[in-house]
Amino acid sequence: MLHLLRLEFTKMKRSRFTYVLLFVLFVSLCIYFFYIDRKETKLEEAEAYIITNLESHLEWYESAKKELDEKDGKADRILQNNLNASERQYNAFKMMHEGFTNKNWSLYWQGEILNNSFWEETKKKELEFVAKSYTYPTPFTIFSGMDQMRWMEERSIQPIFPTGSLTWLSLYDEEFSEPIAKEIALKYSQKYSTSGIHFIYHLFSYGFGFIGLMFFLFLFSDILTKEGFGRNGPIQMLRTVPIRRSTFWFSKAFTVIGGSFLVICCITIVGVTLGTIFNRFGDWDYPILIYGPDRTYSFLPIAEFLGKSLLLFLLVLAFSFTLLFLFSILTNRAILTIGLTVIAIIIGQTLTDQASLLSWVHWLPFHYIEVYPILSGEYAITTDNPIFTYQQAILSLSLSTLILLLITFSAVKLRKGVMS
Amino acid sequence: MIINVQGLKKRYKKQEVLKNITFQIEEPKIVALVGPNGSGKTTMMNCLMNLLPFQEGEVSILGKSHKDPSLFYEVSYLQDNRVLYGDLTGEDHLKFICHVQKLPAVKAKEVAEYIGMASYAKKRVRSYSLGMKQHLLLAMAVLNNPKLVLLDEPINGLDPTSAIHMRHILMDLHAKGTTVIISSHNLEEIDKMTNTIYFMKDGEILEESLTNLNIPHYTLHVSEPDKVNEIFKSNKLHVERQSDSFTFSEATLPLNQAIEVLYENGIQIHQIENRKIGAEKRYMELFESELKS
Repeated sequence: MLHLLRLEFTKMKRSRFTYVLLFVLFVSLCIYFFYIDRKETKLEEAEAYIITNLESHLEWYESAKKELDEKDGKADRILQNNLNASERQYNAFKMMHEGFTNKNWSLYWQGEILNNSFWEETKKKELEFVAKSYTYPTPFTIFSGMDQMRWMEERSIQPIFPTGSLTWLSLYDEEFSEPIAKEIALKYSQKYSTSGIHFIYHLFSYGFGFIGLMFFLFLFSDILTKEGFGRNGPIQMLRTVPIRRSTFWFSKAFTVIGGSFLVICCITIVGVTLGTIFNRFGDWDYPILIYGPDRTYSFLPIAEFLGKSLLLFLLVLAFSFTLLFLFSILTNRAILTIGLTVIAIIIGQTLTDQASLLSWVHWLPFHYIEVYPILSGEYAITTDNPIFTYQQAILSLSLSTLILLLITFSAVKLRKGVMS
Repeated sequence: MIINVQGLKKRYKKQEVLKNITFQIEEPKIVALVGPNGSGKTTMMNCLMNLLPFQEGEVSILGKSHKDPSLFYEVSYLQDNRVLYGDLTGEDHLKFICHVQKLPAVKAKEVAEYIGMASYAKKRVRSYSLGMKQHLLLAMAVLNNPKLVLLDEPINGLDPTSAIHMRHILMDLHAKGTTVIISSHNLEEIDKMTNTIYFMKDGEILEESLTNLNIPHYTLHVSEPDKVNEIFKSNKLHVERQSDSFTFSEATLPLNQAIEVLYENGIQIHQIENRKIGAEKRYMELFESELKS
């Protein structure tokens, strides 16, 4: 099999199209890095924000204290509450500032948790009256946000700015008091970071989806479409060398999947290197919110999230390459094969979106092409179908690939003389 | 036994394209497959090489089943040049065959030089002329010193120099003990290469092992044809008379004997024509109806 892998590698090495695609990929990656860099809230901005807040809260605290003193110690519940709140917020920003200055991120998060603790209390009370709120910020948003902060506090994870209660937004936040509130929430909930790990997380949000799929289909399409199945193509030459037919097919499968994996690894290395050079490496255990059924949630370390996404995306690739292979057998034309595969995937996605509530629809593989929403549980929430889980995605894609392979090899057998 | 084919039948839907093909090749030789387009030459080769399935019959090559992939350590098949990868260089192709055949990579260079393609081995196949492609295919076919090599129309489209070069290489291969099965429309080259020709028509081998094709045939032009006719008859010598000339094969009547008999009887020989029947003549005889149409 090594001989065939070497041949496939040589074919790719000799193809100008490969270099063009890889160049486009590299340029896109650099442009995207630049874009993220522009969107990122820089440490200096974050520090200025903390200092401004610290000064404001100190001012309010002193003003509240002065006001209470002027009342000559007479009990005034409102004033006392104001003083307490100001004191708490001042202390919170003081901790955040200290944590920020000393890069003591646990302390920073303690300050942030303290700063937002009143939200948690408020939302706990709200839950007693409204079980499923859709008004921003919903209890789900606040609780998950607070837990996310606790996770980071425990692990002393450097924050991605901006932080705080108004920087959280969940799928349940549907109603906003003001349109401006929605705008602000949307703006600040998008957290950008050029640190290595986070940059590849951003990058693969596109990479592990339709765009990435198209890239890999084009990059490796030659391997499955240029052998001249059914014609006197190079496949005929490969059939007259001492190689078993099964080895031939395994090598093809291994090349496209293994090759994709290698390219993803290279992208990861380039992305992480870029991030590390221009920012920092990042945190492997940064928490990613995973939506569960009935407004439950959990967190996955970003590294695990990326690993699981990669596995699912490789299955998406396996399915798509099998589809490409089937069309290649049926049409014998490279361009037509790629065109039909792209069309089939687009139509498949459109149809599955329309029929997402049918009882058997979770077996359709086209649901799972965008990997992040599947793994984060967002797809199950937005389609209101809890069966669209990560496990179901793996099962559906594996099964669909097997069925497609069976159909493909049946087509091969039917077209005797092609390569049976 | 190098190759043993028994009752090979191949059908495409209802059309029978190979009809009960049977032949054996027991010792190294050059065998030519000759026939018009569509006579089944390529189909037969593809069936022998397990590139096409067939409905009936048995094929064994070098004592193994034709489906055994290990056969290709000892057998090569030169096909249509579309089997080459346009983006790869000739050297890439040769190196690949070397790897698959478990041969040292240096062999690729040696064979490229032997075939005469070293100067363009590093160029992409896409830029090759037809002759260059044929040479590459031949180089790929001979890399492993095969015991049997099948060549599907390797000479077609080649300029005379390339055709002669290829003929020499094939005859050299044969001299080293390789059996060569070659299909071609170039009957002149075939004549120079072999006297074993399988004429194929409509999926059948019409004639095989026509080793007498290359035996000289003579035509004698004489002074007294009637008397000569009597002399040959009385001596029980088999000749064919055409007015004032007599034709015979060296196999049935050696030329020396014929001259001696006529000389003893005082017959004057005006002219002796020496010619071979040749593949072309036999082809014309066998496919006369097609040539006329």
